[in-house]
Amino acid sequence: MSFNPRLLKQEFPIFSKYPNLVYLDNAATTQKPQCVVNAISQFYSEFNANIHRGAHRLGDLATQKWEESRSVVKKFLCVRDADDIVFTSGTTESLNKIARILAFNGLIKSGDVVLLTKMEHHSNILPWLIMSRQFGFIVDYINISQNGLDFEDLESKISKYGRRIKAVSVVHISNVLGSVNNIRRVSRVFERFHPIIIVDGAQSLARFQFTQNFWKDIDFYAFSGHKAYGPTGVGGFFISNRMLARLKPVDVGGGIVKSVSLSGFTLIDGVEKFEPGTPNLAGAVGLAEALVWLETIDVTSVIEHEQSLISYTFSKLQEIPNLYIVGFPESHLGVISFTIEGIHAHDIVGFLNENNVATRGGYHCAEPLHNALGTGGQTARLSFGLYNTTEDVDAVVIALHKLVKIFS
Amino acid sequence: MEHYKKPHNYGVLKNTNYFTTKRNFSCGDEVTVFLKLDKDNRLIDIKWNGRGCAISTAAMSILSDMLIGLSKKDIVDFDKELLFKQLGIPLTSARDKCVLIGLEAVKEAANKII
Repeated sequence: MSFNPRLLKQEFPIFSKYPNLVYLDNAATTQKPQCVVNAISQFYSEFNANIHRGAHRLGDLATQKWEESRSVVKKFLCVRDADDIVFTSGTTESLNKIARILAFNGLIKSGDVVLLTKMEHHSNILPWLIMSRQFGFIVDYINISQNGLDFEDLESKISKYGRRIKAVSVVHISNVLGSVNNIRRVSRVFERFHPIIIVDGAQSLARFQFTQNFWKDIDFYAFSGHKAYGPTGVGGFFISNRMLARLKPVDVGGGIVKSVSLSGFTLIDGVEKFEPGTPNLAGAVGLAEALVWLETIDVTSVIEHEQSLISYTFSKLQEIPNLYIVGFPESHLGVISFTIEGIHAHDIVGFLNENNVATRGGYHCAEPLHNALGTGGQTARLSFGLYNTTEDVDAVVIALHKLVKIFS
Repeated sequence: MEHYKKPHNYGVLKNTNYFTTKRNFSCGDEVTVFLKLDKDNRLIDIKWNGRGCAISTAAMSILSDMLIGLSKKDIVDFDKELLFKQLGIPLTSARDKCVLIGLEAVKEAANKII
């Protein structure tokens, strides 16, 4: 069956509740299809118990659902059996956890360097800054150029710091610019040594066709379920086999120990050692349902649909006087941010809201990027999902014409 | 829109120690207010400047008109609901801070008054 956003939209109950809603805030969170809502409800109705520890049938069923969910995520991401997925509450917790795990395990020490980019959102800056203050390593940023990441600057930083660069953490798809970073190219710039490669995948889970090849040089990849049609409060991170074997957890508690005495403990092996306590079981089941649902639609079709919408939006926004699109012309996926001269971003998104169009304005949790771009934080953002159509874009353009008239 | 396009009391007061700058870190908006009071601690002049959206600019313009003649205590105790009512437009909760940035600056400046 061919891809039909109008039919798919019918699977989302929120659009029955608000039939006139034009939802273009998908980079913040996507809406949820009925099957995901049902899966969460079914978990609590039919499978609810704590995992791993219950000596009863329901506990086994819950554990089975939990591990099935992990398998679904691994399959969706084309992750090899040897590598694994750790469940967390989402990208932010994942990146915090990764930074702490690497620092506390001694893989990044005083005097070492962690390279980020100026494209990062706050969740991929703050965890490193916090850890750098405690452990004395340096955080530096790869510049951006006219066309995306500045690879010349990356090479000059490699010349400057050399093997002191112990980790590189890069956003996969920018939540402001929509640009897709070539992770393979980043890792391949390092010829003589291989730092730990971390990818912030907050925006890419539902917008990228993953292959086994993608994971070749990657050690960690953080993601959120709620930006991929899954529930809020669940996500995780990919961890490579070499890291999984080498690293000890920093968060500890029930469920991850073989034995505990008053003076010590022995940890379990495997990926579960990073998941102490009772996790978001229903959330993981809901996320797995969302990914299975996405696979039935075919992610490639979703990407093609969003790209055609982006092209359409580009051409339509040219009609608006004094509107400037922020970002790199060759690379926009899922997101278009823009400014209109003389109109504050909050006035743009506020007026769009009055016209039933949900968007977002401001820094989008990426203040350093806005400072680098010189926007002063005044960008409005349209971010697309698989249920959006050209009619949604037309609604934006009509409203923006009215807005410009009011402010003229 | 009139208050946005031609805001009232926009400018600087040079001869006063009672001024404050407030910034909204989520959007970069900034407002500086200057207060001038008479010997009975009643507001006889107010000026303000900065950069902001139409809502924050209009709210500050309206607020500056409402405050003239009030005592220090009245300013510090000023009920934000009066400002929302005077503004008279429906807003999402995210934009409350646009309305209130000016009032927060005014109250901070007023609190400096001995």
